[in-house]
Amino acid sequence: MHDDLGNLRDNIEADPFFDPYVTLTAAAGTIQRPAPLSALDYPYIGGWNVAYQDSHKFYPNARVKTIEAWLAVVGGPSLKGIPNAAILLKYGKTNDVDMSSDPLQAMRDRNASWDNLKDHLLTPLFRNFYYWGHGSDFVLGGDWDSLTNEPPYGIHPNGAEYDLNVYQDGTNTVRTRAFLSSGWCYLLSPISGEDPHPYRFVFLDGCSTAAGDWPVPFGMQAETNSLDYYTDTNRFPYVRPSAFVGWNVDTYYSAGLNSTYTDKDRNQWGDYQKYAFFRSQWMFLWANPGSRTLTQALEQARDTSGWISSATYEKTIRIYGLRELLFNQFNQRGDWPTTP
Amino acid sequence: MRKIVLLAFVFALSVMPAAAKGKAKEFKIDFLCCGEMINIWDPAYSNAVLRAVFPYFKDFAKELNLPMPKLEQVQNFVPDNRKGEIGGGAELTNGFSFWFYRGVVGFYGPHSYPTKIKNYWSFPKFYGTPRMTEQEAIALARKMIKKLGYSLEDVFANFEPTVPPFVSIGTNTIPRYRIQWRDPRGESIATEIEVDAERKTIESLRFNNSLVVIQRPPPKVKIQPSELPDTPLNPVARSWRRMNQWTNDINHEYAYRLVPVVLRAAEDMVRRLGLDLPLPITPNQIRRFYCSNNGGSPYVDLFLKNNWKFVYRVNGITQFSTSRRFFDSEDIPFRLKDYVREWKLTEDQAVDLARLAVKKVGRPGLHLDGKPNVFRPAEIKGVPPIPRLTIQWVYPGGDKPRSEWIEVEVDCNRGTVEALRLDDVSSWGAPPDLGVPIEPDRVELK
Repeated sequence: MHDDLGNLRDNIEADPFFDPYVTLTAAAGTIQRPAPLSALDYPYIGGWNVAYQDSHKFYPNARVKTIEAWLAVVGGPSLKGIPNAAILLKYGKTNDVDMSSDPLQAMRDRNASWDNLKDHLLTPLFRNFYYWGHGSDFVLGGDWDSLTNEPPYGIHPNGAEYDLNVYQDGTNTVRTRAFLSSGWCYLLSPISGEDPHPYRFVFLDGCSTAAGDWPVPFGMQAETNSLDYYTDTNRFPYVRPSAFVGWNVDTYYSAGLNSTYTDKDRNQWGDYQKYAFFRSQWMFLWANPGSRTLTQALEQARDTSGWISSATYEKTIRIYGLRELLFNQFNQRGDWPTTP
Repeated sequence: MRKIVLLAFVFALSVMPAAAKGKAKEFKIDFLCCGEMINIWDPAYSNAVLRAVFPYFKDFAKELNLPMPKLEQVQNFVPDNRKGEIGGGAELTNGFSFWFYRGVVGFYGPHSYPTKIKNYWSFPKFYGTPRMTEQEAIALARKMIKKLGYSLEDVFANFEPTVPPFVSIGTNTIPRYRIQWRDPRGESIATEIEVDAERKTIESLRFNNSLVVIQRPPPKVKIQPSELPDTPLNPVARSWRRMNQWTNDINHEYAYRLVPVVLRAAEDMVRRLGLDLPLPITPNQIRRFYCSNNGGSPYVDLFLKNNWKFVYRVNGITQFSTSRRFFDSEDIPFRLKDYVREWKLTEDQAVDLARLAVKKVGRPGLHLDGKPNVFRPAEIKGVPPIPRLTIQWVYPGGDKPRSEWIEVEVDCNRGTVEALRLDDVSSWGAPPDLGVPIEPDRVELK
């Protein structure tokens, strides 16, 4: 398809938001109506959104370590020449580290960072998403720390997670947008979304992200599949192989170095250094030679970091879709017959 | 401002002189939780590691009748990123991948499924017709394990494996048996072998890192990696540079002075419980002494060369486990046959034994009268019963913060305690006064 100027309009690099209108001319007059939207082409190489919620600032040592590990995760696609975006999600109350003393400005800053994430999610270039921060079965995020750090017991709920204030800023009403809901993500759904845009890989690295419907809006199912599933042409939508990683419980790290926090289900969670190292090592192992599958990279990172035991790991992590997915497998446009 | 103080702190740790003297320094205290990251992008080091591990790849290929790998076929190689871990993974131009970790080699062949699937269009290369049964494939896999010099028991391949069904795409079949043997300690896959049922060949083989019993010391490499680059072009290297400064926020002099204190506390625990660890514990018996500052009080992981393990927390030993522990044994050589015994204790007797052990080392008044939680080994088809129980008391229960967390692993055949955890907040007093502060010196930026 070409536009009025003769430019090819067949891929997202040419025009990611091509929004065609059809003009019908008849004796009775001219009618213009929007053409039906279709799923956008898969990019030449699927980019990565790597988001980090600055949620460890209540404990500065953990903050330093997790930010370093996040940058190492960003480095995975970066060193492979794959487009990537490092997205910092603001977090905290007024006068917290890197936060404005003005409560309205603090809310604006937090909102803007989450708007930035949503913009990136909608950008068709990005087909891989790693999020590290607070999570739940249907919503990621939050405005500020609702947790108190009480070693040696670990972390306990203590207060609201969202800024419930509503401000009037000129004619605008400002309230919190510092979250991402799975409902919003249905915009991306290849079945029902306004911006159909299935993802190849999603790792929502926060509490209970495998307990809700998170895989679905990204074009996946909460089930394990092998390649025969993906090659079934009767499947709808016929999107490329993909994988989703989440946790089916609340996840923790122990605030005391080298101590272990045991939750009510007897899952044991190591300290924040190991918690951080698990993430950076997973990306290193997955992105580098040795043809490690997603499952193997995660399992080996668990073993190397010592963050959690294999028993806790098996009980708590959920890997859906193609568990054997390789780091850049099926991530180029020509890797799969259907364009999305 | 808070950020500046933190940076100054990191700087202070990186330049701290090693002032401690004495016998305790006969070994090096480990201040890094997760090992030291190295410069894997240093070509001289990377090539040296490749040359060191390549003979292992060749031996492995010879045993499995694979095409003999040649150095000139290596199209990329990435060494292990942790100091002292001589290993890494190589991809060859003929489609084979090999890797080496602690003396153990694994591989993927060019027809390994789905690892060597490049894209949708490469599926037909994997289609075929099965010409061997599942049992024949399992027999072949076991034969290959033996050819590599491992016993089936060591890699759990003497038990019944899990074998997923063939993948079918339309009317085509990808005839691969993926034979998986699980580890009875955590149910993770210990050994996985892929058999091409048409060509009757092994296409991939992988042993889990938790199979310590088959691991061997790695080869020596004389070349040291150069310093990690500090450049925005390599964010991973930058991140690793900072990780190497995770020195656990402790005054190293305090840590060295703590060594004899920890050893004496461990000996005291051994005596009070009548454990069979030879005493005294000396520095040359130590494999790893890992020390950190846990919010103003010390925390130590003490691993002995004979695989006994102790944890020192605040002002005393809070955990120990013998070399015969079943639970939490992924860091020691493990053979299931050593644990298959007759049950001689009932659960009630095991609870009584656990309670008695705790009373010997704990303060009076611990909450041991309630019904404990009892945990058993996972049940895997074909694996015989293991007479081990972990008895647990937690006080207070529910979601309230715990002040007592007690666990005892009981060998219900020998009637012995093989591991004990006694985290009792009420007994935590002041940390030892060793004449120097536990906090490291700080440099305040002006």
